[in-house]
Amino acid sequence: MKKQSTQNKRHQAARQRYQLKRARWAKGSLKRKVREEVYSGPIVYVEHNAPETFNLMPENVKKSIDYINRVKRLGRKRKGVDFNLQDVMEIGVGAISMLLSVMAELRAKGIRFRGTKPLNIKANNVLERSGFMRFVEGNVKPHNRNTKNTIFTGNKRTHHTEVLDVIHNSMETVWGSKGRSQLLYGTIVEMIKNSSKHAFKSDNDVRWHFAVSHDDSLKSVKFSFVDNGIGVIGSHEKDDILKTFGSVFRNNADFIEGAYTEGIKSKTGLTWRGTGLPTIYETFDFGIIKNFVVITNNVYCNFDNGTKQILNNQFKGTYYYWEVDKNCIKHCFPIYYDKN
Amino acid sequence: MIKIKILTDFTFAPGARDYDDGKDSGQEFYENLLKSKYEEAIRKDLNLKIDLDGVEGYPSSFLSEAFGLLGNEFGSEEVWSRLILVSNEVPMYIKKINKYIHEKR
Repeated sequence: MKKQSTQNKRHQAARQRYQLKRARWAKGSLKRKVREEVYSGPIVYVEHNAPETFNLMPENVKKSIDYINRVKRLGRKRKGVDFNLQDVMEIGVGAISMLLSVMAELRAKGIRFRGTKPLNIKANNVLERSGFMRFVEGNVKPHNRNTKNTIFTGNKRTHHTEVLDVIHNSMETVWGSKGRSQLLYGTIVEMIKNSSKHAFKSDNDVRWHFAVSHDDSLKSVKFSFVDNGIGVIGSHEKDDILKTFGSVFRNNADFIEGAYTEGIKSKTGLTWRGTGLPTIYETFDFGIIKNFVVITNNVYCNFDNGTKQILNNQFKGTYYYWEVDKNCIKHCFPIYYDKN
Repeated sequence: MIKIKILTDFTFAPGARDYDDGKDSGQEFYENLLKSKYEEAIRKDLNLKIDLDGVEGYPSSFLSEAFGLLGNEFGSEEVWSRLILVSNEVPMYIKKINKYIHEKR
């Protein structure tokens, strides 16, 4: 018999160990190790130029989502992302928080980022004052440091009381004194709970961003809430609700409009549930918020001007935008308690 | 009359539906306060007055769970006739609670 080389012996031993392991996996007596998701290999940065007008207004939404999706795809290819905002002339807080939600998802997988700020002074001020730089450890010019603007990140364990200061401060900007806003609070908690319960496959993946931007001179506050989950349509397709009721709606845009204005059967199948989306819409319908926009999957809906669009590029997640200003109905009450 | 003032007796910031949603949920409110107060009101044959004002607000799932469970357990008509709801800040909550009490589970 031919004598086995040391290398071959090692190979045979390793093979036997592997076969033994496979047998134990098959029997279920040994659990497979989940492959480590965090990427730790060499980083190759790929530069991507943001569109000149990077916001989520109807005329720019396609280009902006396309940019965000390109960033996402690069991350999935395990490449570092060099987001170049140098040529951006106009930037919106909604687009910033949407970009941030994608970055947060990729960062959790070990993807690294670097970037260039807009050369345009106005766009750069919006970016610096948004709170975005805190997440990328970037420099903020002294005159942009003193701001009430914030981008708040939450997960499954975030308690709903953590958004209270945001609401109180926004009431101060618009109505002149800190206050409660019952319906606005209900709306934000519904968004948080929808995101935590329905948007992600696993509790560990839950991550949402809530951005608030104040304009003291106009007495106006812009809000955006975004999660990078599976979207309203995605979550209902998963549970066959769209397949059941799909024929009632002409397309996904009609489905989304109906889901907010009239409600849809809850994902749970329990008839008394599914109250969340209409509650969000109600706050807009009562005039407490304005310019209410929902972007989810391939749908863009601006309830304020009735714009409904099917996008040819998907945002896989749910994005809300709204504003509160002096033209809204005043819904602000004194704070009677001391939460400490 | 038996009274509950949610701000002082339960929380300043009601949460969402059930324990899975975290602290101060509708389920917690029902199990720890609403149910026992309602039973006391039945025993003494009194009305139960619930003051909803003063808190941060109510997610619809909070109201749906708390009052849906109450209506389901004690009978919707009986519950609706025994409750006195105060909601001066958002009167619409009373209409919603009426709906949730009468919803069959």
